[in-house]
Amino acid sequence: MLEIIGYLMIILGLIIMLIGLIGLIKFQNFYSRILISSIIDTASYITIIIGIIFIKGIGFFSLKIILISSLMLFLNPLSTHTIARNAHISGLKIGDDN
Amino acid sequence: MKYIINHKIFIIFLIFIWCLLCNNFSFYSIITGSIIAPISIILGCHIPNGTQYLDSLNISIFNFLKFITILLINIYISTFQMLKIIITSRINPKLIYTKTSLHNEWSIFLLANAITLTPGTVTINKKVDTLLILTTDQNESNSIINKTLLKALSKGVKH
Repeated sequence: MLEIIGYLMIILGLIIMLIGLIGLIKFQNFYSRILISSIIDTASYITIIIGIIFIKGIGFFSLKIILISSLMLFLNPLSTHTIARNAHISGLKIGDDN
Repeated sequence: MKYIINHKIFIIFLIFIWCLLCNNFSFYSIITGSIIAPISIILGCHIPNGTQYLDSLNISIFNFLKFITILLINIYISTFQMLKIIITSRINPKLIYTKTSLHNEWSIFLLANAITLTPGTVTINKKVDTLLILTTDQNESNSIINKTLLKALSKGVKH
């Protein structure tokens, strides 16, 4: 039963990732793209990790996975923030790059 | 000695991670962990300017877990809003200045990280306690930062 829930969570995460990728191709602006990219970074990533934990059960393996994912949750926003900040400082205005 | 007393929760966390990486919670690995964790804390405090940031980190575990739970719920709510935006392709990003009521450096850092983690909002710049946020939200600037999230954060990281 738990395995089925885990596989369903992984499928949900992949669907969210697919819609995020469609959004990345659909919008042409830099700022729109960086807003949408955080769907793939966080939401689908967390869903897939929860699915893996459901499949494997609580043990050393899933605790290590939680450790890795908490590190990712701290470090992922830094890259997004750095890219967006550099674009803002270099003078890119919203709607300039249509 | 004062380093160990100041960072006791952090040391327990490091011992837990050491045992996790050793793959067992036996007596031997707890002893080795409790030798290595204070050494790494003391080395961390002797990095130039390292002490002032490590000393001000004072987390209460229960409230911090509550903060993470509220953050996860917020992430999923705004994910489904963003999925709706992608399908209808109605997006107009804008920049907003927001002043926070937090004063601690660590809690402002965690707030900025939480804002960037939530899909649809990205923190771009920080000046003392004013954050520049890129958002798709059409509402007023007060409603971008969730009130319950802010409350849980101010309880989780003590000033």
